[in-house]
Amino acid sequence: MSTKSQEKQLITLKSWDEEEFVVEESVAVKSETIKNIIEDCGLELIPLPNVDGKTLAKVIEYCTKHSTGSNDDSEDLKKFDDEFLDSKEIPVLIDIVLAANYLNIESLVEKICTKIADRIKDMSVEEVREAFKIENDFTPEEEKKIRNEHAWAFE
Amino acid sequence: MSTTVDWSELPPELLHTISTKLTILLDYVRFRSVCFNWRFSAPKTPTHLPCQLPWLMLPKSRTQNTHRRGFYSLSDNKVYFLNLPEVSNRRRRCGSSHGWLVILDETPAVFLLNPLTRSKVHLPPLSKFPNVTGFNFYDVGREYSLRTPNGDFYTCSLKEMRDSFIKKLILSKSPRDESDYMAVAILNQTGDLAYCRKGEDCWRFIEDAQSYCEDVIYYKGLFYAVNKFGAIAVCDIRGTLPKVSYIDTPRQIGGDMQYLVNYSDEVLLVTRYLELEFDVDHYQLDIIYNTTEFQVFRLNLNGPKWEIMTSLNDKVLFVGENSSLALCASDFPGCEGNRIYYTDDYSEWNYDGVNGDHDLGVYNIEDGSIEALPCYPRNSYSGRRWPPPIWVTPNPC
Repeated sequence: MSTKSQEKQLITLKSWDEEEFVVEESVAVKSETIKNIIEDCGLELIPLPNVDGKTLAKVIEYCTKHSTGSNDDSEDLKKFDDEFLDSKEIPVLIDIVLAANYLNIESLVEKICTKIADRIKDMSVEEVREAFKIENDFTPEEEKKIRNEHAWAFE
Repeated sequence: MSTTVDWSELPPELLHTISTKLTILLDYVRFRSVCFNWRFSAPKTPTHLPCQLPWLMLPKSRTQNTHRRGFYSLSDNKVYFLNLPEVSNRRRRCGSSHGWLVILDETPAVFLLNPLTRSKVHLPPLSKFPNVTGFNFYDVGREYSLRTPNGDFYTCSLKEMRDSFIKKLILSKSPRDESDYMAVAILNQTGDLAYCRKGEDCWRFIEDAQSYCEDVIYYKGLFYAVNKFGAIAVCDIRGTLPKVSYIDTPRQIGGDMQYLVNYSDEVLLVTRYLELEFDVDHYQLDIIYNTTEFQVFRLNLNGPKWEIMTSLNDKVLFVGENSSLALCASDFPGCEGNRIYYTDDYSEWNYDGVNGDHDLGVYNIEDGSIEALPCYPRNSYSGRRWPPPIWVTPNPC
């Protein structure tokens, strides 16, 4: 079935807000989810209702860089990963990790989780809540229990 | 239409993954205090945390009469307080291993205490050591009867047994839950090593390791004990009877105390040099020890021999009455590599209230200089308190 030509198979990915991205199949299959869709259905236009265009563009940027064939441990790739992630605010990282999780791109999920952990490391609880736009939804009794569990950490 | 992601709804598996990337206990505790979803995506007792940077357990405050004890953190340069009635004044610690303190009192009980969780685990009591022939609470001043190796009998008081029977006690691992831990105690008077395992009700001697009593560490399933000349007895106490083999290195000369430390796949020997000062003040003679130098050697099994190390690179060592510990300085803020963080290690007597400073500090291997620990600046004239400060690894397990 394979031809001798070097023609690369192209796939179109479409975000929920109707943005279309044409990528090489070798890039698209970095996502296990997309890989399964292609293997099962042989589609050439794959709709991704859980990802918006802006985020999909970034995910594709990552996957493209990581399908050049070079070793995942190379200095260049590490440098790219650091710059790619360090330059993004937490809300953007969250968008990307949710997309990468849905698309099942394990290496990207791991890296973002590590970056997020690095960022929250030096933050107080209040600062984390602000950065992630999270409400404190504990009851006063629960709060008290939490503080007592490791009282030293909250004094 | 803007993205409608509700950020607190990061799915539990992603939250869990993020929590496993946190390596410092304080960060993990804070993670679990953010909100309901974050809290329950990560277990109450983390099992992934690597060994934490030790805290320095400070002596009880002279002025305050509470059960709160201060623990100084190098990373955060602050003192954390834990409420610990279990370590009241009359109790002595004869070990700090995997985050558990070994507590002795003026009773035969020997127990382990985790200061973070306040969990307690009992070990066989002092009266169950092989050379202790009896215990009579009513024979005041001579409560314990003991037998020497050549068959003579003598007695010890409650205080004497508390203060000078056991030099140091170490554990193979945290005794939490169902773990199969082992404990080894170095006895002061005879230089014996005694051991017990989880569930056992008495201590037994490792006969062939007698006199290897400078320090002992647990390494790859075995206990390595060193004598004052640097020779090692390797003890396997997993079977019915202990099996001992030896690593006979050329005799090390010099040095007042020896420690063993393991780091990755290496066994290190740390030799501590002390100088003695006499302080005569108000008709009271105080003997003050001062550490002047450390030397570190790595074990080369080809020989075998100890090879001096001129640099530890990124490694940092913690020695004293605790189980000797080696960590990577770059894993922890507030801690510099190629240094030895040391505390007092004179386990023989209660010297509460005497003059002089505690013998503790940070030794720089590169230039041999000694710096004070940030919580004990030089010339703070605090005098020496008993029990002295000790390194404790904060361990939630």
